Formats: sequence, structure tokens, C-alpha cells
Amino acid sequence: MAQYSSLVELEDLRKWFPIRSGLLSRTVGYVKAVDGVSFKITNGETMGLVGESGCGKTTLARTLLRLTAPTGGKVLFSGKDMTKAKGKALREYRRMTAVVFQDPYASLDPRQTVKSAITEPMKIHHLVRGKDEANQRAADLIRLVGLNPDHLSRYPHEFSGGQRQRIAIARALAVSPEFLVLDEPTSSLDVSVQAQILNLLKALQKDLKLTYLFISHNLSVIRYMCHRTAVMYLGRVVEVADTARIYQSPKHPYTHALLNSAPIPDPAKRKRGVVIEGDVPSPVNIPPGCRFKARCPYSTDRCAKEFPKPVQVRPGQWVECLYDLDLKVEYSPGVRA
Amino acid sequence: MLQQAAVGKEVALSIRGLKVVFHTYAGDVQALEGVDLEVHRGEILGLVGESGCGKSVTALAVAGLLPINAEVTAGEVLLDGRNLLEMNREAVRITRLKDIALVFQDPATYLNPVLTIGLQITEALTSDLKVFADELIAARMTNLQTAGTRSPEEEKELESLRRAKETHELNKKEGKRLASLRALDYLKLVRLSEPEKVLGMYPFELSGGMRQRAMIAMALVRRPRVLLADEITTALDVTVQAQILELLKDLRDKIDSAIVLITHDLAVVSEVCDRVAVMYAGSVVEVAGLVEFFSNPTHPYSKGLGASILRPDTNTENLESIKGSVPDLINPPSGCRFHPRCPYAFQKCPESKPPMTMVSPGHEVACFLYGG
Repeated sequence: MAQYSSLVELEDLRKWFPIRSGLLSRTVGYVKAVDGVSFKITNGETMGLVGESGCGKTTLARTLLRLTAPTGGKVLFSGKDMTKAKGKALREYRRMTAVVFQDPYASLDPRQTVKSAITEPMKIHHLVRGKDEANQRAADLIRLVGLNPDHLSRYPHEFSGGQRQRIAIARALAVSPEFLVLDEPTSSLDVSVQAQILNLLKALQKDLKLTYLFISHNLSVIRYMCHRTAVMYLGRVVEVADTARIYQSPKHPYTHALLNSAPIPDPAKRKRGVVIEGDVPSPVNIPPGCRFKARCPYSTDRCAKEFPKPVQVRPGQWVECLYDLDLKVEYSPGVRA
Repeated sequence: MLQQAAVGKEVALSIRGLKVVFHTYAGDVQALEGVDLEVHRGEILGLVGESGCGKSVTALAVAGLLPINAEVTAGEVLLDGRNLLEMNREAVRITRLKDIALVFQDPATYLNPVLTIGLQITEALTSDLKVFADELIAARMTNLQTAGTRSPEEEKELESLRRAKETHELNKKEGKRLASLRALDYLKLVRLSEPEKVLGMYPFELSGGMRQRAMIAMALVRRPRVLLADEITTALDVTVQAQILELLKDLRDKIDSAIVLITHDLAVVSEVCDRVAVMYAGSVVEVAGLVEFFSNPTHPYSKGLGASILRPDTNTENLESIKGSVPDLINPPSGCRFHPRCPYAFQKCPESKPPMTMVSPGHEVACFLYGG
């Protein structure tokens, strides 16, 4: 196993939700939440997934984890096809993957002690023999995430948001996973707490050799956390590249628009000008051609007719745009504050 | 007050020594511990701090919307020099109706799902026609007079409006009609596309960004002197957030209201605000102009906040964070409430509360390191 082999591979992954209507509940259309996504996540890296709400980020993660069945395409984990895995194979896949959700107020059972929340997954997967070993591991995990073993007998309501997120991380790590999906893990937290959690996640990755899929709509957080970044729009990944590359020279007009919309905490760099109008269109009845054309400042007639295929514009940078645009982000990249 | 001296603009809202206590089963929560704040006309003041520091409680106290277990134990809220906390109920009602507006974080929760947007926007205007009659008439007359050529019907309307202007009265039907016209103007002002259609729509038919615009239109339609915007962009995507922030700046210039933007996001503050006030555990610990605040943050807490923010435009190798967490306000730390987390704390800090001290004109801080 070389260090650079890919751990997770998505091939043309699709998840369509049928829209039913009428007396016989006939399918009248589909919400194409994820519509043909392909990328690889290398062992030990953090892959960022960024996009506006409703673009399919969370559905992609859920489908990848087999929490919902994909409509089409493939999910490969360590080279093995997990798309149709059942029984033992699926259980094993569930042990190797884990997820931390956005809202730690909703993702922890209010009637379960911290100890019970952390030891439950170990018991389900038969990872520990007996109570003592489970308790010992729970104590180790809670220390690992920066809390105190005394906290184990408490209930979630006794903790602050940041502490709850630490508990959720400890629970995700209970099964010793190789791959962790972090779905907006800090967006409900304050900045100072966010900093603590992000640093914790970075340290854990290094110590436990974890691979992350990091979902966020916060571009500053993505820049800090991720080695590579995928930009998602209306069910498709429109650009993938090294994070540094994305931030310095984005090639898709949507990536460019996102970067230009991100507020910068520096009054000297107060900018504006190119703000894209409108919201993400509905993923029902997506018109032919490029999905971004309605909001794109560079769109032409060709965009309405032709579907842009992913093109490799530079090594490792894949873009779904018909044109090779020269886009500049309106902040000077790489300058240190 | 020091803050007033620094900026030449007229003070619209002034909060002095405001103390609020929440009575709970666990004990009394000292939510606000003497808040001093001034907001001027035509400015956006950014009110920042961590959750639980009292930002929203301050806004609710100004609007008179504190929950039933809260008690204002001291202080004044002055709107144009009149203390809202001492007015009789009727006067407070009129002031709230006319002069103070709030916009909340989550428009999906605060809009009524079974009423149309149009009805919700005009409700405030038509609920008490005495309050808004003059304004509605004047606004419509200006619109008609500046329109250039007028049809005979419009001439007739103008004539009847002139009569109404003298009596200061509108009948219900006329009031509703004028209110809808005004609602339409404000939906245009917040740049909602197809405003005529939006008036008849229900909240579920709008996207998050559109709902937030509708909420802002609802707040502005009364031309309030003070707009309290509580985390209005937190639930929105960056692209929509950028649109709403642009709108806010535009409105500050057009309507000349005093805007308080409550947020925990310093990046948002840096994009739109003119001044910044930092709150920690129930009091304002630093007030400064925007550029001064970002170039020379003075309070140790402000410094910590500055160090823990990430930027989209630079690589950060090691992110710092403020140690510890927000204190328990039932048994708050003595003296300066930040001292248990402060890297510079010394003997004096736990003993007494530091007063606001001037660092430079318009820049004040509550910290013993700078005197007091």
C-alpha cells in the first residue's frame, strides 16, 4: 500500500430522488441531487467539498457512506466496490467510515450519557471485550479529543457546543475508522471554538493517519483544512484541484464567484464589484447545457446547447467549463497578514 | 460620553449602564452587566462577540422584547433622548411601531407561513393608520408628482390625497391600497425580482435569500430610526450574504437609519461596518472605528478574536485560539470577567471591573492594561 494510493473513488455517482404525484403516486420527475460525480480521495489527505446550500454536498456524503442507496455509479473503498455491498461487507465498510455532523445539538441523543454514546459503536462492531475494556477505550478517546474522563457520566445538555462537537468526534473515532466525513463540523460554533476544533481535527489526522472529506461552505475554513478542494454546483463537481491552485487561479466562473463573495476580515481589502446574482436554481428539470449558465457572467449561446465535459486544464485541475477563462481573484493571493 | 465626542454625527440610540438579569431555576443569570453603547444616524455599528455574550439580549432589550423571566435592573435606553424604559405602554408601542425594527437570523422562523408576504409587510403600516397616514400620503404624493405625465385618474387621486393630507386621515381601504404600493417600493428597494408577484406569495415559495430580503423590506417599510439586524446573514450562503451586505450598505446611505449589525463574524464586520463594539460576558469591552479596530485591537479578548479568524485570501499555518470557554453567567468571574482566560491578567483584574478608557479619539477599551 503506497502512501499515495486512493482510498475512496467515486465513479459517475448519482443520487436522484423521485418526485411522485397523483393518485397512483406516479413518478413525474427527479430531483437530481447528485448527478454524475467522479473524484478520488488519496490516503491521508483532506478533500474539501464546497458549494452553496442545496447543491448536493450532504447528499453526496450520505450516498458515499451508503446511508442512502445510490441511483447509479460506483463507490470504491480501498479498491473494493461498495455500491452494492451487503451484510458483512457493508458492516465492515461502516466500521471503516464515520461521520461528524454539523449540529452537535441534534446529533447526540439527549438521554444517552457520553460514555454510552462513545461505547455503543464499539459494542455494535464487537471491537471490545467486556465493559472494562470499553470504558478504558472511552476514557482514552475522551482524553484524545481534549475532554476529561469525568465527563463520561454526564449528558449532552451539560456541555457547550464546542464540547459537544468534541464528543461527536470521539464517538466517530470509537470504531477506529480510516475515513471520516466531516459535514460542516464547525459552522454552528463561535470563531474561537472553531479554531480549537479545527486544530484538534488536524492533530488527529496526523496522529491517527485519517483521511477526511471536509464539507463546508466557508472558504476560509476550507483553505486552512484541505489539501485538495472540489467545488460543487447543482449536483455536479465543476472544479477539482489542489486547494492552493483553486484559490490562486480558479478556472470555473462559479469558483471565481464564490471566492469573490467570501468576506475578508480586513478593511483595507474591502472589495466588491463582481457579486453574482440570484440563488442556486432548483435541481428539478435541469435544462440542457451548462448548469451555471443562468448566473454566469461569461455565458454564451454555446453554453445553453453544449454540456461541458470535465477537462484537465493543468495537472490535477479538472474543470467543467467550455471556455478556458482567464479569471483573477480580487485579493492578492499568498500574502501573509 | 466619550464615544459621542469622537464622531460628529447625531446620536440615534444610546444605551447607558444597561443591566439585565434572567431569573431561572438554576439561579439568576447576569446577562448584561452595564452595557454602554451609542449608535449614530447613517452608520452601521458592528456588535460582535461569542454566543452567550449578550449581543442579542441587548437588541431584545432595546426593542422591548425580552422574555418574561428577564428583568431590566438598571440603565437607560435612549431613543432621541427619550428613555424607552420609562415610557408608558402606549408610547412604547408607538415608538416600537415607528422607530425600531428588528431582523432576525432565521427568516423561515419569523415569517408567518400562512400569510402572504404582502400582508405581512403592510400589517405594521395598516395596524394603526393614525401613525402612518401622513407618511403614506406624503410618499404616494411624491411618487405621483415626480412621475412626470399623469393620467386623469392619477390627477383625481392626487386631488383626493391633498384633501386627506389636510385631515390627516385615511379610510381603511385607502390605507391598505397605499400600504401595498409602499410595500412594492420597498420590495424593489431590497432588489427582489418580480416584486408584484412576491407580494402575493407565501414564505415557502421563496428561497432563503429572498425571505431575508422580504424580512428586511418588512423592517424598512416603516423607515425606522434604528434597525437591529441580528445575525441576518449567518444562515445564508456566501454569494447571497454578499448580496445582502451590499444591500445593507446601500440602505444605510439611502434611508439614513442607524443600523446595529449583530454578528460573530469579523469578516462580515469588515465588509460593511463603520464602527465596531466588542462584547464579552455581558459588557462592551472595546469600541473603535473599523480601520482602527482591525489595525490596532487593544483588549486582550479582541486580540484573541483577531488571531482565531481564518482568511480566504491567505494561507494560515497555525491557527491560534482563545483558551477556555465563555464563563457561566450565574456565577460570573469577579472583576474583569475575561481575567480567567486572559494571558495578561494581573493582580488587579479579579478585584474590580475595569472602566472604559480612551486609547485614542473614538477608541475606548475596558482593560487595566490601558489605565483605569
